Amino acid sequence: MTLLDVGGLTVTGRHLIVDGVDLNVSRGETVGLVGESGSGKSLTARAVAGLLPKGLTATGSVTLSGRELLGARERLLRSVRGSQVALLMQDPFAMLNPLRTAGAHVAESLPRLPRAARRAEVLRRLAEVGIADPSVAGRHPFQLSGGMRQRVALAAALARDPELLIADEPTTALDATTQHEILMLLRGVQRARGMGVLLITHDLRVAFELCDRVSVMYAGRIVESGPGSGVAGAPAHPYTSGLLAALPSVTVTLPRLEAVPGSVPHAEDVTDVCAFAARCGQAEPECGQARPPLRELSPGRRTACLYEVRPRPRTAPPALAPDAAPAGGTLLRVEELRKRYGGHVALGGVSLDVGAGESVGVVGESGSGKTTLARCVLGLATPDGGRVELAGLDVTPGARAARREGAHRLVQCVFQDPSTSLNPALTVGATLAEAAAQGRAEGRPSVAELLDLVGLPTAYASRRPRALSGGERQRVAIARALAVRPALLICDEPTASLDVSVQAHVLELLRTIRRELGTALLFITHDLAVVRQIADRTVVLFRGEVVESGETARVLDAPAHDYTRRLLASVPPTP
Amino acid sequence: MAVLTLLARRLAAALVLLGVLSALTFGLLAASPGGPEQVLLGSRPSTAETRAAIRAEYHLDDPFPVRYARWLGDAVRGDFGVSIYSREPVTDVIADRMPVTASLAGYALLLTVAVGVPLGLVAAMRRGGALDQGITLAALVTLAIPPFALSILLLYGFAVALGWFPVFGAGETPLDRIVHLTLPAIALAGAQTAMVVRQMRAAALDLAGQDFLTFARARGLPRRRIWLGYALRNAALPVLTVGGLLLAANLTGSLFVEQAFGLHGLGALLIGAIGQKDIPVVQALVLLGGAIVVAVNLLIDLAYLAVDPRVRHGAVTS
Ligand SMILES: Nc1ncnc2c1ncn2[C@@H]1O[C@H](COP(=O)(O)OP(=O)(O)O)[C@@H](O)[C@H]1O
Ligand code: SF4
Ligand SMILES: [Mg+2]
Repeated sequence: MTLLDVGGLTVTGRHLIVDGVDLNVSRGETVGLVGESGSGKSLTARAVAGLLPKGLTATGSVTLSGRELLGARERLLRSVRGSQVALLMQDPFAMLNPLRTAGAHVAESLPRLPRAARRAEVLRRLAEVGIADPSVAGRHPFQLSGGMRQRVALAAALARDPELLIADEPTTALDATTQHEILMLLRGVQRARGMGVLLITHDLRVAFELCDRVSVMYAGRIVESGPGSGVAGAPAHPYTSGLLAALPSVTVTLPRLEAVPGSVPHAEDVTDVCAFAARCGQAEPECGQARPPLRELSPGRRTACLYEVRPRPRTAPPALAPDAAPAGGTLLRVEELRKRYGGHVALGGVSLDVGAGESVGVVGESGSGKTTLARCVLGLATPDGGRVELAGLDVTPGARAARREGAHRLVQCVFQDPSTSLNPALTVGATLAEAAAQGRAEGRPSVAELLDLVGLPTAYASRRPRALSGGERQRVAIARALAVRPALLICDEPTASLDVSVQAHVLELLRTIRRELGTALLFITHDLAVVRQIADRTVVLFRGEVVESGETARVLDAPAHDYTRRLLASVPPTP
Repeated sequence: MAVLTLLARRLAAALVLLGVLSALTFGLLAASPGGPEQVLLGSRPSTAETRAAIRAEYHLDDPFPVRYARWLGDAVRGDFGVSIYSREPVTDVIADRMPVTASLAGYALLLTVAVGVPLGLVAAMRRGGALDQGITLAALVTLAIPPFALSILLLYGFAVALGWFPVFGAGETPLDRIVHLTLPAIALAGAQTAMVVRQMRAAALDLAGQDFLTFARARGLPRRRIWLGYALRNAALPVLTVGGLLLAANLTGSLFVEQAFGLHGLGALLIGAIGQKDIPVVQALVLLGGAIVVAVNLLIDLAYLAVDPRVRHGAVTS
C-alpha cells in the first residue's frame, strides 16, 4: 500500500531547484534517493515534510496515506509531523538542541504520559536505538559522539511512531564503522516496525546495500529508478553508469578511476534538454532538443535516457601490481611518536616509514590519531616524545627549531576541507604564485604550469575560491602544495567531503602526480576503498597505536588484526 | 568541579580588579590639586591649626602605603570617611541616594527586557516583513535619540502637556514611586531596548537556520515548546550579557535622566561631588561602581552556568 506519493514536485527559490520529482514509498519498504550534492535531495525531503526554508516554494503534490500535504495548513502539518512522517537530518552535530539532554529530546517528542511512565519510556526508546546505558539520557549532546547523537536523534524522531521516516544522509558525517552501525540499526528498526523509509544519500553503495528501490536524482530531477539490484547491475542511464564506474573498490586496485567529466548544471538551465547532455559520452543531437521523459523500461524500472546505455569497457581488471618498491631510500621516518591531549592519548608511540616516491596509506576511524600524526610531521603540533626524520634530517617539532628551515620544501599537505583551507580573498593565481615563491628560485613552476598539472584551465588563475566547485578547490589546494616541488605530500582525508565522481578525479590526479613527479604520498583516510586505490603500503591506526601494517593488498585481503577486520566489514559492498 | 574552578578563577580576577581600582581611587586623593590637605579642608578656613588638625585626623604624615592600607581597611568595613561638603558619613550619603537609582535601574531593566525580547523575536519571525521593518526602523530611531533629549520629550509630552505623570521628584509611597519613576525609566530604557531588540533579532535569526530548530519542527513539537525551549533559551545567552551590562551601567547612576527629571540618585550625587571636589564621596562612588560592574559580571557568569551545560561541564569557556 502506498504510504507516500510524490508527484511532479517542483521547488523554486530564486531559481528552479527541484524539477518535477515523482517518488513513492510503501509501508515496510526502503526507498533510496541518491545523487551528488546539490542535486536537490535535501530540499525534496524538506518539501515532503513541509519544512522548506524561507523563500522557497513547492508545487506539485505530496500525499501521505491519501492526504494532500502540499499547501496544507500549518496546523494539519504539525499534527502529521512526528506522528506520521519524521525527518532525520544530515548533521548529528547540529540536529540536537545543545542545551537539552538526550533524554529530554526523546521525552519532549513522546505523546503525553505520566511522569514516572515517561522516564521508563524514554529509556525503552533509547534501548531501541541501541543505547543500553541509562546514564546517556542525562547527558548533553556535546558529551556524546556523532554516532550516539545520531542514535538519540533517531529515537526522538521515532518517538511518536511515524509510519514514514525520511533520513537525509543520516551517516554522511560519521566514521565508516559508526556509519555501518547506524545503517544496520536503521534497517533493524525499519523491519521491526514495518515502517516506510526514504533514505537519502550520495553514497551509491549505501543505497544499494539498504534499499529495495532506488531513484537517482540529477540536477533536480529523477533520471533513473528501479529495484536496487537492477540499477546496480545494469544501470539504464549514463549518469548512473558513470557514478558506478567512479566508485573505488576495496577488493581490487583499479587501473583507472573513471570520473564523470564536468560538473552538475543548475536545474534551471536544463529544463528543456537532457540534464546530463553536457557530460554524457553518448549524447546525440536529439538529446538537446527536448527533455527525455522518464520512460518505463519494464514494470518498476524507468530511465530518462533516450537510448540504451552502452556498457562501459569495465575491463575486469587484473589487479594492478603495486609499483615496485622505490629504491630511493627512506624519506620520512617517524619513530615512537607520542602525543597526549589532557588525559587523552592521541598518539601512543607510532612508528612508520615512507620511502622516496612511495605511497603510504594511514587508515583508522576518527579519533585514532591520524590527523595528529600529520600535524606532528608537518610541525603544526609538538609531540611529547619520539622523533620525526625527513630525508635524514631530524625535524621533530620543538626539538631543534633551526632544523625545520627548509622542511616545508620537503613536505607539503592537502587538507580535508578545501573550502576553508584556501584564502577566500586571494585569486587562485595569487595563491599559487605566493606558494611557489616559497620554493627555490631555479625550476620554480609558473601558475599556468601548476594549473595545468592539476588539469584546470589557465583562465582559472583569475578566479576566487568562491567561484570554484569543491573538487576544483581541492585541485587548487593540491597545486598549491606542489608549488614548492615537495618530496612528500601529506593528504589528510582529501576526498572525504567530495562526491564520488569528483573523488575519482582527485584520486586519479594524485596517482598521476606520483607517477610523473615521483612525489611520495602519506595518505590519511578512513575509507578503505580509497586507500586500496592509492597506497602501496597501509598502516592501520587504532586509538593512537599501529595495529597492523604492510602491503595494501595484503592488509585488505588478509587482515591480521581484529580492528582491521571490523573496518573491512563496515565497508558497503561495491556493486 | 569545572564549575568551582571557573567560579574561583572569576572571583580571583574580580578581586584583583577591585584591588587595582581601589589603589587608583585612593591615589585620586593624594594627587588632587593642592594636595590632600587642601581638599579635606573643603570650605573651612585654612589656618595653621585647622591644617594641623586635618593632618592629624587623616594621618597625612604617614607614608603612602600605610595610609592606603588604613583607608582600604576602613573602606572594606564600609567606612569611607566623611563627606567634605555635608559633613555626613559618606556611607549615609550614598545609602540615602541608592534607593532611587536602584529602583530606576530595576524598572528600566524590566521595561527593556519585557519589551525588547518579544519585539526582537517577533522581528526575527517575520523577517523582511512589514512588522520586521517597522521594528527595526523604530529601534534605529530610538537608538539615535540621546537619553537626555528623550527625557525632555517625555517630560514635555506626558508630564507637562498631558499631565499624566509628575514632573519632578521620586515619590514617597511605593505606588507613588512607580508613578514618579515611569517616565524616567522609559527615557532610560529607550535606547537600551533598541539594543536588546537588535541583539535578540540577530540571535534569533541565527537560530532560525539551525538544524535543531528544523528537527524540532519535524518532530511536530508544539509551537510553544519550540519558541520557549529552543529559540528563546538558545538566544538568551547573548542577550543576557547585554542585559547585565546595561543593568550595571544603570546602577552606577544614569546622569542625564536623573538630571532631567530632578531625581536625587547616584548620578546626580557624583556630578555634585565632582563639582564640589568632595573627594571621599567620589572615591566611594567609583569603588561602588567598580564593585557593581564586577558583581554583575559574576552574575552573568552564573547565569551562563545555569543556562548552558557546555559551560557547566567546562567544554567551552564563555
Ligand atoms: N535555502 C535555500 N535557498 C535557496 N537555494 C537553496 C537553499 N538550500 C539549498 N539551495 C540550493 O538548492 C540546490 C539543491 O540543494 P540540496 O537539496 O541541499 O541538495 P542535496 O541535498 O542533493 O545536496 C543547491 O544548488 C543549493 O544551492
Ligand atoms: S538522453 Fe542523451 S544526453 Fe541524456 S543521458 Fe541519454 S544519451 Fe546521454
Ligand atoms: Mg543534502
